[in-house]
Amino acid sequence: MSEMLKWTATEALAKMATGEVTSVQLTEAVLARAEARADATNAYITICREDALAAAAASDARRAKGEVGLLEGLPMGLKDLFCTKGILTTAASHILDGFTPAYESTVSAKLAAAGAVCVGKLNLDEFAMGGSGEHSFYGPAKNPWDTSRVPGGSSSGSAAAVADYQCYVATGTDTGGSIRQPASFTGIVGIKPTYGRCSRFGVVAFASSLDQPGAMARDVSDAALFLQAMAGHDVRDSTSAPLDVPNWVEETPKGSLKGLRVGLPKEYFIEGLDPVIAQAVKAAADKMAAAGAEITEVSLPHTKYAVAAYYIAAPAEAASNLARYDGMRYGLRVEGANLTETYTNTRTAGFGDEVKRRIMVGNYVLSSGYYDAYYTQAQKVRSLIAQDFENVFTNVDVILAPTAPSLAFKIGEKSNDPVALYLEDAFTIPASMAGLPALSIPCGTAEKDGVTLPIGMQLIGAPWAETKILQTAYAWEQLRGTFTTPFNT
Amino acid sequence: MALDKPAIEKLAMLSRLKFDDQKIESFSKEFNNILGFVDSIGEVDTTGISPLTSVANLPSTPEREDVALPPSAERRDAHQKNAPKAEMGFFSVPRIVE
Repeated sequence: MSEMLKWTATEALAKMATGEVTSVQLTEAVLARAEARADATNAYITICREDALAAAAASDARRAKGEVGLLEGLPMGLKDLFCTKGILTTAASHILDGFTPAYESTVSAKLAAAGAVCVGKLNLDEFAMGGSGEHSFYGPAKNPWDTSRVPGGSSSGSAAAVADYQCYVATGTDTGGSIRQPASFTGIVGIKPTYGRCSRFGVVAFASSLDQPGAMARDVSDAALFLQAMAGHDVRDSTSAPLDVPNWVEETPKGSLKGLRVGLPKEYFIEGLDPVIAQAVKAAADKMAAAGAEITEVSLPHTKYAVAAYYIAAPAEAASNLARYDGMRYGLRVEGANLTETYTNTRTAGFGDEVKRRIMVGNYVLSSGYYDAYYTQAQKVRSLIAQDFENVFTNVDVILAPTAPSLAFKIGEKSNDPVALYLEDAFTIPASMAGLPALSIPCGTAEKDGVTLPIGMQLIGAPWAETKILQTAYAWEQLRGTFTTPFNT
Repeated sequence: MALDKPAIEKLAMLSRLKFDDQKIESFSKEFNNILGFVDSIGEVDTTGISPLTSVANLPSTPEREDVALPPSAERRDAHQKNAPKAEMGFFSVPRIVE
């Protein structure tokens, strides 16, 4: 593997600035890696070789004229949930066959405006519904640490590609953990900012009150840098916050663990959590305490109901959002004898099993007679979950918890049991339900069945406190030292 | 509460989905497992709690003004390029009125 692929995004930008390397050279190296590893990892749905090289050449020309954006010339990947003008956008669903959007998502437009070069569209669980990457019409992405295992989901391809050096950074989206859990399974950093920080315009909708774009990268500085270019108010998303974006690039390295109040929620260290993960997260807490952090146990009493509330609220929103797929304006159409049959045939052929399950659950919990018992009750529980966090954040600065209850599991291991897979989201869902910023960062490795697998820990912040969790993550990263990966050769 | 086969079939019809006889068995089982799992939220005492419909910490987000773009055949064509069937600048759909 070319040495330049091992650079961080920050290093790659510095090397372009000194003229040591061009964007075309970096992009060519990234494309070659992505193409060579396509069969092994299935990280990309579409590799945009020609467009990427053209964008890289244009970036080099801009740089020659002195026009240098924040991410000038940096090769990156986009989760295939972000609409890209003129480039196939699939959401990993058969129902969007051949869909080439007529417009660009705000996030991908901002990244392009910052000079980033999109090398391709990354694999995911269909419509971002899943925690393993296995629910993709294009086949599962694979975990580069062990390709018989899942990279997590739903941002499966983003995680696999970043971990496997097939791009420097990638966008993800997180509804119930879809950035953090795959980051934890692949040994990278993933940050879901506060709901409203990044625009959802042009992001294929799953559950609109929860969906939030975020950044996936190999270290904290790169995640801060990439998120910097993604975030900001957008008039085209009525839930995007009209707030100034802090300068995360400058602020992230300034944090200190001295006197930092860190809460360990007791409800996250429960039966069902792999003991090796519990041990690693507690060891990280001890290490942070030795560096001056004040670690206290905190309680988020409604945690155990979060998954159930989420699997009512999210499918309800999904069922509504996915009603638009009717085979009339874009994508697949399977003709029937009349209009209703055409709708039914199209949707039956176009959606995968997990999407169908969620549409059915969603329509059921929204149906008259059950609405209050399920949907309204779930929204009330959501209030209680948000209140739990509000109470805890009066006493601590950040919450430290495991990201996922298990290590990366085998492809097929949990695919026959939807509820088992839902429980994989138990520690990521609560922050999503409360709209809070949260980040996953590697805190160790474990041996399992003869392979080494990464362990992720999660830092959750108060609303709009991305700076605090980035600073904490950065300080932890310094304390932890370099995170080596076995396939980095 | 578990749904029987006719109830699942009705829900599928309303969702514009269809499951063949072979699939309906396994699907019903999974669906009822999920329902059994989410039923646990009934245990939570939510007396006096308001439902959270959007995240509470979001500051007010004033609506932008809606501005209509002038008609453009080019833009129309760009969208209709994605349509399974489009003719003469229209989306073509199956006959609705017999």
